[in-house]
Amino acid sequence: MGVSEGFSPAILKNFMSSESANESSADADRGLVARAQQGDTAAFDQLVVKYSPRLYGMIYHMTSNKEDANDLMQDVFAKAFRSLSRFRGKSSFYTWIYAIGTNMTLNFLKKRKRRAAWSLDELDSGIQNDDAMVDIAHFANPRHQSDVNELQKRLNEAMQSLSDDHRAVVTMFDIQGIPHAEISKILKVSEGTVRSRLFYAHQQLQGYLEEFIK
Amino acid sequence: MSEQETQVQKLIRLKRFEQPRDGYFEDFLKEFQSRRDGEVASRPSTFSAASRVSDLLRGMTSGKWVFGAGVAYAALLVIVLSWPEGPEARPDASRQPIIFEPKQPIKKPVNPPKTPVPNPGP
Repeated sequence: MGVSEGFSPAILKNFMSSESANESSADADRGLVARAQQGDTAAFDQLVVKYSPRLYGMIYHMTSNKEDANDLMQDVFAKAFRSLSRFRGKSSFYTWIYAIGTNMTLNFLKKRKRRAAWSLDELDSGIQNDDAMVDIAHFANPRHQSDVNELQKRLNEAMQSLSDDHRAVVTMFDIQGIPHAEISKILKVSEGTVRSRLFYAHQQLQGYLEEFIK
Repeated sequence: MSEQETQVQKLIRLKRFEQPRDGYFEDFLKEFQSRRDGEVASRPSTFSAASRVSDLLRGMTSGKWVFGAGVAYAALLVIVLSWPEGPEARPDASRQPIIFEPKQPIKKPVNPPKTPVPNPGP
């Protein structure tokens, strides 16, 4: 399925949702999960609608490929649907589905490396001509009116230069705004490990993006 | 956090504005529903029962396992003890027991004469 990148301020607002909203959201999820466990597919569909934008963001930024992101997200929700009866509610549905998505994406990336057919030429570059992207790029770095094409390319290369584990924390924390504590639950590592990975990832990214931050 | 690290974060955050085209998620849901319906339709009828048993067992704690194993053992014992005897379990009247009869009388072994053991004196 082809997907062209573009800006969506409405979806952007979803990323900025507050903690309290997350709490009530978790309550609503419990109800939907309970109904879905009883065989109500419409309830599961509501969960898909709710979480597919965020999950897509995570998978897309991990893979840097929209077709892979689409296929993986289909697999993630299919697996979640099959495994829903085993979901006991020890964590929130959000954490659970994110953990499934992260694990499947990391496994996919390992296989893709083994295939060795991957090249950076396949990276998406759909937003490079978007006016809003140009404005935001200039706002982020007013001293350097950088070429957006170059910035987009360098950002993708910088992300791909990271190890899968480091890219996962950068994607979740820097791009998606997920707190350290939540990332540690999703990845099943300590918060210290999350912070450490972020620190080393930022160090590495500085080297790649040096020309844009001086 | 250093100024450079903050700048890196600002640049990386630009990627959050990369979004799929309008209507993508609606199409995604339709595709998912179609796939799910196909999977459910192709699922064998035994799958549902097997998955329920699997879920039941997975949900059991260790105490329940011990109790379940005890009940299963007791049930098995009752079945074995109350099992009705079949025709092959009864003795066959037509079959006589084989009695071994030696052709020559068996000689008794000759024991050496007992000699009185001297009783040690006090």
